[in-house]
Amino acid sequence: MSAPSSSISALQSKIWNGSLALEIRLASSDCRTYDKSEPYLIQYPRLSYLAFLLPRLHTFFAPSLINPEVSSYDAWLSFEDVPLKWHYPLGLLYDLFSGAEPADLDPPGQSESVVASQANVEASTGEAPIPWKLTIHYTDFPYDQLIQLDPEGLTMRDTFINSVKEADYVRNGSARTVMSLSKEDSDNLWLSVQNHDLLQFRSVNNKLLNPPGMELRHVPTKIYLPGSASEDDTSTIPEETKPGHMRVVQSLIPLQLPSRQPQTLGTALNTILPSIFPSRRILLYARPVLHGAALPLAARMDDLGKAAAYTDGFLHIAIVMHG
Amino acid sequence: MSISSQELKEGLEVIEQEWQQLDDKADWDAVKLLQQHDATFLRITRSLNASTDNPYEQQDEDEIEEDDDEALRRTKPAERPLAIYDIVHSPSYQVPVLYVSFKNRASGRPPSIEELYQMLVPSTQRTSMQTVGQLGAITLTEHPITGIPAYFVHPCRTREALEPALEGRTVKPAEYVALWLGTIGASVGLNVPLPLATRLNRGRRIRKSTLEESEQ
Repeated sequence: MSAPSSSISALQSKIWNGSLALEIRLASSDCRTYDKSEPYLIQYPRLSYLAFLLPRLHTFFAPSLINPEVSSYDAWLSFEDVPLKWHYPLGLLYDLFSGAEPADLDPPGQSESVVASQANVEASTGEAPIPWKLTIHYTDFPYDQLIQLDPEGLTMRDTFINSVKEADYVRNGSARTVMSLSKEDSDNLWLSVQNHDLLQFRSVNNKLLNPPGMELRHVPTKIYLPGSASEDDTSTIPEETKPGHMRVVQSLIPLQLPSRQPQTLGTALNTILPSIFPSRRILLYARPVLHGAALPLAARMDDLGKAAAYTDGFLHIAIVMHG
Repeated sequence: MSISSQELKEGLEVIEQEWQQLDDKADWDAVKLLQQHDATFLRITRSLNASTDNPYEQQDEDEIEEDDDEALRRTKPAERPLAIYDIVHSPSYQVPVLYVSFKNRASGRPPSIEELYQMLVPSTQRTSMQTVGQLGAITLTEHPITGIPAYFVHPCRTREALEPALEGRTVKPAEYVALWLGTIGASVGLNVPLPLATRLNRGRRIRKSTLEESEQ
């Protein structure tokens, strides 16, 4: 049975409340003082985009800049040597690159414990790299890895809307629902993301998720595999792989199995990535991580889509290989 | 009309094979099937006139762009700006999607959308391109396989855009790709070269004979 809407809504609120502590320092090559400038500290929502922080970061770091002429949208952020893509939400970037252990009710190496103790959860999150230490740069923009922002924020908006349209297409087989949103609704959708306002977001998102006369076909999902999991001798692409390169896997997964059983995360992963997820019920080599938590394989895809999607409508699932 | 990833792969293979057998390869520099895991895509590389890389200095140059192949060959390949067109299957939309990126641009950065048109679309065709909204907007995005920033023609209206050309027929994958190139590709300057179009049209009947083309 599908989860009751009260649980869906409660889980969605929890996810929207998720946040991460960030410590952002100015790259020494952009800093006019020899000793490092003070870091900018902030507790920031996992579902939000780092690009929205730039005006605040710029005000903070402007006095320390070697070149005071640069604008806020020339900046870019990195974690170690990985430039952080503006169009990935913070929580996804953290799950992909921070190396943090996901919160896990059933951590690997332990037998199939039915009820995990609170101690377990704490132990598995104890080493979290908090605050997450990022660097802001104003020079040497990595054009071959990042899309540069613009003063009006159009790039961010376009990319977001494209993703929302794609999610709609995956759910319904057409982008009609998004296209038929009123101007006010589509403006409000983007505003709710910028302001991190769940109530405003729901007022539009509920229209997207429940279009009249349409039946949900597929759950929008992107699966991110780290370089180590996607080494591939058959690759014939001439470009050299950049630090932080991910293999992104997408597939249309029906909501029901041929047996009419509901599609679970386990059955979906087993279909899409059988070599990494050879079992539908037991995690052997890797864990699927969403919003900092290892997902249970028994979770139904339709429930996940309603409760745990990012603001663009996608489940962005990071695959973390067992250490 | 949609196309599965397997059908698209078949179509792209035919395009690549037919291209390799052409004698007159003037329009495109290279056509290559590339692969990563189970994803296969076709990369078409086209040299751009160096002057179109900097459209604000020599705006009239791009009018002769199409006939300028001889001039292009005289410059060294490494120095010429290149347009790289990748045809990739979209699992969400179940249609081919065109990604365009650039190499050897003087500035090292992706062009603005205005510069992109300046470089890719001959000025004679540019007015009709103002209606490109009909096909889907062109925006910068992340290439789904290489991860590098690339322009793409948004695929949400590709099916509708193909309908007039298909006229309700079911076509073979290679013909689908050719029609798609003529519709979506043409909007960003990726036109099917005439010798290739001729070959694709004849391909079904006289695929073995290359004599006629070599006479041209």
